[in-house]
Amino acid sequence: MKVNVDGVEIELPAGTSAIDAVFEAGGDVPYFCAHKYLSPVGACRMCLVETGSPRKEKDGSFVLDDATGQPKIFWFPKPMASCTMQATEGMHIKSARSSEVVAKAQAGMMEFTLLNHPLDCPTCDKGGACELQDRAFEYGYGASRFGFDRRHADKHYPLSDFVILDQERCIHCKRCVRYFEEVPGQEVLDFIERSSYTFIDTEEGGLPLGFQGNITDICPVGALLDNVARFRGRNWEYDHTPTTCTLCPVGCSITVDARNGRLERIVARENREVNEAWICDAGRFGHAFASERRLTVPLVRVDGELQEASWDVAIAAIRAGMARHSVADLALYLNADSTLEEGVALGALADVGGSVHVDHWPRYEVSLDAMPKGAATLSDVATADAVVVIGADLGEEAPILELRILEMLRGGILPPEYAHGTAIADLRLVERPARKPEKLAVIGKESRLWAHAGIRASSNGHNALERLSRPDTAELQAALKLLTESEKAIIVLGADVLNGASGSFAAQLSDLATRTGAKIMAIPAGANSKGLAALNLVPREGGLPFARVAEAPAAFISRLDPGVRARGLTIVHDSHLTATARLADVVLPAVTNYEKRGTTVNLEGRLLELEQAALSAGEAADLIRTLTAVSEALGVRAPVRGLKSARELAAQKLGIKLGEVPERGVIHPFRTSHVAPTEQTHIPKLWTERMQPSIQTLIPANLQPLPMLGAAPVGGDD
Amino acid sequence: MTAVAPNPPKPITSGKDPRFAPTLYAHVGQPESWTLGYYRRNGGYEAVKRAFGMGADTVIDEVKKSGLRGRGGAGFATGLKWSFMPLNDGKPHYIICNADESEPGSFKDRYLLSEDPHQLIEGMIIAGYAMRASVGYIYIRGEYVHAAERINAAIEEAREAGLLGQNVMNSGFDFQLHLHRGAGAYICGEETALMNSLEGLRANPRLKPPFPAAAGLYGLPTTINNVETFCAATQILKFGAEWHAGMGTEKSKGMKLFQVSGPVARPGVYELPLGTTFRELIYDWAGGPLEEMKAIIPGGSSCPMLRWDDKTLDTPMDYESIAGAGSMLGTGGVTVIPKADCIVNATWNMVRFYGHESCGKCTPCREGISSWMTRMYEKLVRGHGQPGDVQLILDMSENIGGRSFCALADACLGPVLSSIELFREEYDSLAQFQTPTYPARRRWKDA
Amino acid sequence: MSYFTDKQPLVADIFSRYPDSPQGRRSALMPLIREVQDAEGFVNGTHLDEIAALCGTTATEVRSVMSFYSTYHTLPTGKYHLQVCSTVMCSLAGSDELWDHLVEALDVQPGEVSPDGRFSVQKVECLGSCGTAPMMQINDDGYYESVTPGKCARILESLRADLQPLPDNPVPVTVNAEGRQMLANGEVVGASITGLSQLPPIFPGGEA
Ligand SMILES: Cc1cc2nc3c(=O)[nH]c(=O)nc-3n(C[C@H](O)[C@H](O)[C@H](O)COP(=O)(O)O)c2cc1C
Ligand code: SF4
Ligand code: FES
Repeated sequence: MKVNVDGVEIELPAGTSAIDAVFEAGGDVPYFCAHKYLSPVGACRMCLVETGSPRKEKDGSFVLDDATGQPKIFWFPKPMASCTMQATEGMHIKSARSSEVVAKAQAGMMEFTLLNHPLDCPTCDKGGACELQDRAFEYGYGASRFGFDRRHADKHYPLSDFVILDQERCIHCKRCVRYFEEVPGQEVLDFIERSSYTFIDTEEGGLPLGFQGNITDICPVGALLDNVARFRGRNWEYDHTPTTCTLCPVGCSITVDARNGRLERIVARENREVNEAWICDAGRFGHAFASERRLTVPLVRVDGELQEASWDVAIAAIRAGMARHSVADLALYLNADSTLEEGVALGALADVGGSVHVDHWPRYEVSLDAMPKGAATLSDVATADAVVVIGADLGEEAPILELRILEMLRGGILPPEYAHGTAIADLRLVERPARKPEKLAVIGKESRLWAHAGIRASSNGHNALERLSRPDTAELQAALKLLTESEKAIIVLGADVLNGASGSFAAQLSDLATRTGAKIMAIPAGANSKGLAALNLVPREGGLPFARVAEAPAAFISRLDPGVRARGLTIVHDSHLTATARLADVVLPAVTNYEKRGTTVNLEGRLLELEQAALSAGEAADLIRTLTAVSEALGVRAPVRGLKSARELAAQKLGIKLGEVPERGVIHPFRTSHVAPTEQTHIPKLWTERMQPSIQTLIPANLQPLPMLGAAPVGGDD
Repeated sequence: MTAVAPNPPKPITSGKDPRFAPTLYAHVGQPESWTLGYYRRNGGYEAVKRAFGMGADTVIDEVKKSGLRGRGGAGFATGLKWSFMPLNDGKPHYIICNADESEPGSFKDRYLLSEDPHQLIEGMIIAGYAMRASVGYIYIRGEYVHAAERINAAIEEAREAGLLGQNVMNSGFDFQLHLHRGAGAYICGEETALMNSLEGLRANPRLKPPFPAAAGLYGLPTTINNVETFCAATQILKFGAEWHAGMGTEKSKGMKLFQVSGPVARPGVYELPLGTTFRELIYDWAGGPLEEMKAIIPGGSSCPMLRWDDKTLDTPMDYESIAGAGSMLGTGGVTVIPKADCIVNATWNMVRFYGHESCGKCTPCREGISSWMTRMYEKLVRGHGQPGDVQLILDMSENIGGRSFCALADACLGPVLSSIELFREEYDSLAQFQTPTYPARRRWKDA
Repeated sequence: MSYFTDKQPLVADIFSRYPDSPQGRRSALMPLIREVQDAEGFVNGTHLDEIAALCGTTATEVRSVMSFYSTYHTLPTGKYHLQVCSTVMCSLAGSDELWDHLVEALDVQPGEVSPDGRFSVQKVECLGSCGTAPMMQINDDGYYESVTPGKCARILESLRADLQPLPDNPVPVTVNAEGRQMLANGEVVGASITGLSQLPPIFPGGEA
């Protein structure tokens, strides 16, 4: 399809919106209500362009322009909203670049948009990163002719503990309302009243925790603000670090904003393949621990008390403590959210030291990477024609996976990609989409997803798969039928089934996958369990799993909190003084995952990179550097001494090149297969105590409707 | 500017004699006219019989031949609109009667609904049959309580008489009809907003395309017509397309319900052929103005007003002639505005109305009209005008016109732009000297 | 007990008008609000929840839809809720003065109920009665048209005595036996008309 934008002809796929045509041609159009992952609605009317199309004669030939002999272009008499208009063969589009009319129309619309918008940019958290501010600068008149009092309304209205509404700033783009309806499928926020009295509110006693924070990202102005980050800094004062969230195995792309060494805010970063434009509330708001009560120096037990010490003193203490042990006595345990590079370093130390007590936690006993149809990706899930979720509470295990399943129920439309990026207005997305609940079966305990599923079967985890294979109830039969009859079915497995999984489970699953042609997505227990499992960081012959850390002769425990110590020397590497750290002999300060570089593997098998945000963490060190120091204390030469050598070793062990991962990550087919008993059950829990932000509860017990100045009183008049 | 003709009115200028007998309003006002018994005694439900006899496609052809155009405002050819409904697509189809009549100056549908409900029901059965719709809804504005009760009773009667439901009049055609009451929002008259309202959503207009005939109510093929349009369809099927096409003008055929309001001797609803002049309507039928006039709004407040002069009075009221005069036939709600009333004040009221009824979805209407334009008028009328104000209103109008999501914002510009064009001096007086040309006067009085 | 518990036939009747689908269920939202308001005079938070549950949606959505329309109330109104048309034709016929008079005479502002619980007032937009302006509606009972000062006084007096006069239902113009349009008082209108053409015969019914 050929379309002419500002005099330049470009080739576009059919179905492209006029706004995307302009962007594809390298032009620009201001817009507020359009959003890449939401339905186009044409509400803000900012995206005006002039358009014209050729017309056909009765015989199918084009009406020609007498002067030029070219098809004559019939222009619409008025500028049109480009976000809701489909570009068609031969269409001509003029943006402000080539049309005075458009430039004036956009400036006029901008004036309307700014009409009731307060001029409080200097105190607004969005200032400097505000779509309205930027666009007003580029496309506005520079002055308003309004001359009346602006609308006054509530500027601090809590929609929940985490989201504050400044009602004066709202420009009614409806992004937030559409977001809740279209993405998490929750009708919890809507416009109230009409005409210029319209405002947004919830009647549900506060927005539900889960995915509410995303509305603060997509609000084009400073009307919806992250309460945790409120008034913490201006956008230009923050250091923005693009990195990956490691709270769960989805691995969402995020940007970490730090100021003066504190982590003040986390926002979502677009990754079409993984989290699109969304992250969960835990990932966004649960970062208090990164800046609060951090351990900044090593601690060493002297006369029974932990005392602050230098790294040198700590190393000496370890060396002294190890006098009673052989190097092989030292068990090495790390958190499953550690990077691949850290895992490589730990594995290498175990190799040279000969320790058999190696483990990462949390994890499950079997690794299920080798399935007949391969592992499913998140895009596979979103475009599947059937999903059966077994024994999972996605809200705790992998929240974004829940959104991708809901995306599947909406029709599984993946946004098209252009040279300018994701389509700005994908005209296939519609408001209030018809969902297809019959394509989703949930087997297990009740969870949030339950409400969206057409087929629901209560079941306990350990025999769910077996029962699905030989269904004994109507619901299970329906679920099996769904799997069998679909072309692109996916089975999602969660903690409830994976905890009990044994070797025979893998065989059974493989059998079911072959029978139904389904792809499998087994949600790993930890953010990088999949990567660490591939490194075989599980107890070696005769080794103790992490559950039996108390029996280990001596232990090095990195960022895990079993609440017990080893029999002998206990070294804890952690960012906080945990219960275990309090029992330790030596405590080494650790950096959090926001402060490291490295690579993790998400639930799809996708390699994703972590970057280091500028947080002050004193003398805290990542696991690689810490292990180098520990090696010194042990008197062995550290096989891995930095990121570079870790990556070289990883290349040898896994055959993957780390450090050159593209922005949206890259899938690596992991085919790990082992069975390694864990001897304990993993109970997924997304929010932990230390993640709770220290904001006072701002929300009143009972949300009162917003008072509106100037609005007619309720009851009598509307 | 011509003043009121104090002398006997000029002779009728439409040249349409001999006149046509009214049919749409033929029974309005008769005792028991709303009952099935009355309706049947007066030839009721004969038209639908005829429709069943000729087959669905022929019914559409008949309506096409009659030249009937939509009476809800836009004047779109009804037969053509009906033919847009897909054939044999296996999906349920819907028809909806737009009984939201909320345009200021319009009050014709209310009497059709309350006084002759069976005429409408018959028209809807015919339309449903023609368009293969098995369910119809009458969307009536919430304030029309009395009419709603009459409609409900009539539907009940018709159902009991086998005129609705399964196998209507043993024709093999199934048709259900339901009343759905609105609740006070002018925007519900816009067809896509109406469908949202019927679906229990906020009545914001929807994107077009898809058009209702492709994806309307519940995403299924739907056709919406005005009350008068359906009633006219009944008459066409009763007396024939040729009869209908023989009335009116070449492109505007048939009879139309004209409503006259304002200080005239006999305000009311008059059923006259399209092409009747304003003069005939206002003088001969409505008995002439009671005071000196300055403007005529030809078809509901959204239609640009015309100057009260010979030229306007002699304009035939048909779609083309009124368009030629710079306005629209609209709903046929003709309002006359007295000379002694401040036009800016009157226009303020209309702007305020559209501002209040804006759904709030799009920026130019919500901010431009509800917030800004309304206050500009208030400022002028309250005596705080400033020299640039009129120019500013004009410039704002340019930024609103054609750029809003639906036609409501444009509707508001009808009175604004026309009143500025025709009565600029009244605006200027307020903007420059803060003085109304026609000061407020006492209007509320006993006759 | 919630409002609809003992009204299942009514609820079923409302649902039966719409398709048997989630979208159809949602369509019952306005009729259900209307039911509650007609019975109780206004709709409160508990009702919102109940209606939401019946329609398969949330209280937020019900409140959103409700607040969009001007005839739903969230607070009680007076025994006589006077709705005065304030749009252009009524305004030109004096409805602004009528309104001022009501507010003053009844000592009640929009959103309030007069101390005796009798009156509340609301300005409404064009009620489709422009030919008989100024006009008002009382409760849902019907229109009171051409409300001149004298008529207004009579109406208020009756209401104060709790004797609500019957609403007007004047028909603007009727058609007589010869097909001539005439006023209710028998006056034939359209003075210059001479002889109407005959209507063609009604077509014979087809073979239905
Ligand atoms: C803002 C707005 C309000 C409208 N109000 C009405 C109305 O009250 N009644 C009506 O019949 N049509 C109204 N219409 C026109 C309808 O959208 C639609 O064109 C009409 O019902 C079609 O019927 P017809 O073809 O029989 O005229 C309105 C349109 C707009 C844009
Ligand atoms: S013009 Fe815009 S705000 Fe006004 S009614 Fe139409 S959609 Fe709503
Ligand atoms: S109308 Fe808002 S982006 Fe197009």
